[in-house]
Amino acid sequence: MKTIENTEITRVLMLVDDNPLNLQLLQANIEATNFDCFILTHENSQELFVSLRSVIPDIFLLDVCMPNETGFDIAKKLKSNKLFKDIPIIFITSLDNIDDIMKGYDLGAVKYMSIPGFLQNTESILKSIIN
Amino acid sequence: METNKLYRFIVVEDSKTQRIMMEHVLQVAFPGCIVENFDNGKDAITRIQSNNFDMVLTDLHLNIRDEYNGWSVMECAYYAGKPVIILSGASILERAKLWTKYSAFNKNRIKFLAKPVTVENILKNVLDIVNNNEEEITILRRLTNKLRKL
Repeated sequence: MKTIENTEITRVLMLVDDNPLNLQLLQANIEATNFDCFILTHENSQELFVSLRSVIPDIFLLDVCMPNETGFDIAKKLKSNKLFKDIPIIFITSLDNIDDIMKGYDLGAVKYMSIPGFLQNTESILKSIIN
Repeated sequence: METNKLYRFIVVEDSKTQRIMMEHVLQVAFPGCIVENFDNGKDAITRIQSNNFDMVLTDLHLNIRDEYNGWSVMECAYYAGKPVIILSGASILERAKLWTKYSAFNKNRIKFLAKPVTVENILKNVLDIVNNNEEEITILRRLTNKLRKL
């Protein structure tokens, strides 16, 4: 009998970055790994919260510097919602000063990294978080 | 539905991204399955009437306005004798549950999932229906064999 334990479950990743090129780069990189997932891309927080009306993802990947709402603002909202508060958040950003890094972790992020850092170890990062 | 058969799913959802996601999720969970996507009730009902499928997953609130909405899809699939999984917003879902309660629907063939929903929850409900149907088929086979012996 097929049960949920012996069924392959697709993981859903939600990406938010105001730069479409970064979104494409991250999406292509994740899809090139052996990590089976479905990626939903968003250019701002409004698009993300529309998606969140329908689907609860397994991981959030957030840029920090975005107009209107930053990645930090989004993380605050997610952590205050009981449906999304336990979902891991990874900040992928070029902001590398210690205050921003500390703020990211204080907001409940599981990782805070640069795009090159994420691209180098995409599969192992995602697998370690899901496992 | 049998364990080794290839399933045919009908997905009715007005959001293109979600249709693609559902197709991916089902194809990974049930390798080789066929997923037919529809963005409106009219085309979905035409397809459902051909009766060559195993299960329908439908949104109740379809933005494309025609004379057939998600409710019509649900009824059509149900009266075709097929299982239906309804995915919709919590408020619409409550009305749908109430409606099925007073319409003497067989609850084993209709599942309600409030959005937002996890992939795992969708698959649990699909498997629940698949496994229930397998049990029913096994019982029917046993009964048929006993009757033959008589």
